[in-house]
Amino acid sequence: MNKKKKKMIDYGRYGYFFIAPFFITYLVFQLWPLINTFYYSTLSYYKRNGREFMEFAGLQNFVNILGMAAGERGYVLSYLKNTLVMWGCNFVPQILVSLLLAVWLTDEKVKVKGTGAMKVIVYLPSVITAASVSVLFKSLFSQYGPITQTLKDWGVLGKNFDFMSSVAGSRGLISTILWWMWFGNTTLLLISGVLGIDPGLFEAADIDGATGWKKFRYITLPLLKPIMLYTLVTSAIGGLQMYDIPALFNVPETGLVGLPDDKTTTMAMYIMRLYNSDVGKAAAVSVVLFIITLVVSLILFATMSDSEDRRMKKEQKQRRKAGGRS
Amino acid sequence: MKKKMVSVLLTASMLAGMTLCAVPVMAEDAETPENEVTGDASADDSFVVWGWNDDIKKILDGPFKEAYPDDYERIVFVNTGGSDYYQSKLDPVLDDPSNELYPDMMGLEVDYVQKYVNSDWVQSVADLGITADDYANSYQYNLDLGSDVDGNVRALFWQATPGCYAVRADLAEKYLGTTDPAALAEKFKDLDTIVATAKEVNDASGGKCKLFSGYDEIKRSLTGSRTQGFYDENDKITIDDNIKTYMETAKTLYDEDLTFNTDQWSADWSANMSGDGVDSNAALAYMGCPWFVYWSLSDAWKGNTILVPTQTKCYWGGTGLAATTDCADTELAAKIMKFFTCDEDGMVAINALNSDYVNNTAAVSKIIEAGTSADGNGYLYPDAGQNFMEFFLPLADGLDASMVTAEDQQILSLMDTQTKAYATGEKDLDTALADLTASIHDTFSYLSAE
Repeated sequence: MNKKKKKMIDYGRYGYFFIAPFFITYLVFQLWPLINTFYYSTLSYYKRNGREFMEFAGLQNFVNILGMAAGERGYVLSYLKNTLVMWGCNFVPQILVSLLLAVWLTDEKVKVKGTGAMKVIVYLPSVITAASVSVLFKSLFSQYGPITQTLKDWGVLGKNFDFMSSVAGSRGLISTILWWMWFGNTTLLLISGVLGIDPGLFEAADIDGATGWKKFRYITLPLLKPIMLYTLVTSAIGGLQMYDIPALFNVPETGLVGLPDDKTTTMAMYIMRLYNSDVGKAAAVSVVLFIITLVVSLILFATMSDSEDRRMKKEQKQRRKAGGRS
Repeated sequence: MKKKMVSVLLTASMLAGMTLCAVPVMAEDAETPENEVTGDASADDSFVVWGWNDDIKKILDGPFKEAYPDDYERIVFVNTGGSDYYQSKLDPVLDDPSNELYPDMMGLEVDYVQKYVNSDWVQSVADLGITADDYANSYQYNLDLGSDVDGNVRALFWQATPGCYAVRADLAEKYLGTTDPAALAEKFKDLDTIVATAKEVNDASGGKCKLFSGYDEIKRSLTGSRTQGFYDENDKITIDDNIKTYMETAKTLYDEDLTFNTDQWSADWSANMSGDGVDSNAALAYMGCPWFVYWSLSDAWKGNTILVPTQTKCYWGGTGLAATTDCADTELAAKIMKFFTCDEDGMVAINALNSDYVNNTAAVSKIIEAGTSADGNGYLYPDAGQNFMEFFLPLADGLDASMVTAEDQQILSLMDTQTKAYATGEKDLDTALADLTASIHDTFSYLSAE
């Protein structure tokens, strides 16, 4: 009996060996830098003429970046706004278009031809690297670029309009690029979600004479909720850290200032810009971004995973209550 | 439930944690070009030289190789492919002398040379055995640029870079009715006249040809002739009146549609260099200087360029050479530096390579006497009767670089952002200036706004 027990413990140990690489990597490359960043954020740590100046500053960096000290501006807040605006303008159309495509491409009645090819085509934009996409869009929409010129010739745009010096134009283009790059990915996710729904439900609805819209509203949409929330969570986390497209799209050669007028600078760009001159402040901005991301993730995770749980618990409770009475 | 909460919290914190770690990684893949390394850096006696373009390399490959063929063999050249990424590539290597590509010597641009000469990274030229006698013929403003706060010279320049406007002769003939340098100089004599000239060109060409490609063509003439730097000796941020003047003139040019509103060095800016002003957009004049003529002008300007002084004396660019603290061979460093920046014959040879205006008054006299480079590497318009070197001679005299700071490159870029916001009507002048001050302080927290 004793022997048998020992054997089982041995087996269990292998499991830990297998998951160890992940935890070691996580500790060394993520947790340690994370703790370090918290430490740096409490330092006044900047470089001047190649020399480093470092001293303890407590929470001064946070007070400064949030604009709560005299003579300081809360750039973090305006960059957070830039980030959220550009993310929102990309995510809302993205989820709508993806939903539409997912439903069309999977509908048994519509029977779209060449769905395979369609799936490849919508996914293609996300294969191209961000650098190439930015350069492409920048040359198309630059002041004398072909699209800008054509739109001017048609009278859609004013004679002096320039996407690169218009706040709405630049932000809009960045959102468009992000939308264009990511909607294919989302569409594929949603398609797999739709295909996961029991076809019997649709058949039953058909027999009962449900219209396409009703099927979508009362079957597809509710059952897609988990996968849509997953998309929302990953997109929100990615969106808060938005960097590559805005950092390459409309910036001066010397640095990470989102033109025009700093209105397309994101949080991550700000961190990178400060990183070269003021490590302490950069770390403080990172910590702020970390906290925001953490809160957002927690809220979304909670609403996503627990709604089913809560419902079941409630039912159990009620049943128990009912049982107690009888 | 508790377990679930813990797992959710852990997962969320892990995802969020990627924020902190992912950002520096992302920075790596931004559009920075690869370093281009020529030569074998792993050789024992390799001598590494850094530059942001092949300007230095061309001189090493040409006149220097001819003069010192054996030393030339040892040189490894690192071209970072652009001045804008230079500092972020160079600084980490300077902090790591064991790196194979640690520079023994490097080129430093005017907009940030002060940062390096005031750092612990470079040696004073006196330590290399270069004396004041060696660089006695250098222009004073270049010596100021290469000196640290205590006045020790630590970087030397091989070119002087007096500013000018390069005017395209065929367009000037057509839209201003003259190719006479003196008459054209009148058209650029002050900012008001420049605006009037811009109107004249715009009206005469029906908007197809403009005086400048973008309003930023006047930028260097104003920032390069400031009387005070971006901060004073107490590190308090100061905004020179020239900055205001620049912003105001930029707005006038923008509002009256007198330029094509391009940014300097952009593709549209380059395209305007080669237009014909009838079917395609063309700019009549560009901000220039000696290196700009041979380095940047398109073929449409060959035998077609007239030089006009800027309304105020200014300089634009220039490259300092400095030897690093852990330079492996100070003797060779001194040899290269002397050849580039002190040696009359060496500098005459540099001039022969590309008509550059060298930073040595004796060499310049020699070049003028010999009559070489008179046609500015083939760019000057022959009928205007200009002599390239003689034209710059008075302009190079009395230049002042005392207002240059270590942070100029980034601050000038911040200024561009605010100028554009003001010119396009996003904000008023006072807001733009206040925002400029705030952004300088935000980028360099040791500079105070108040």
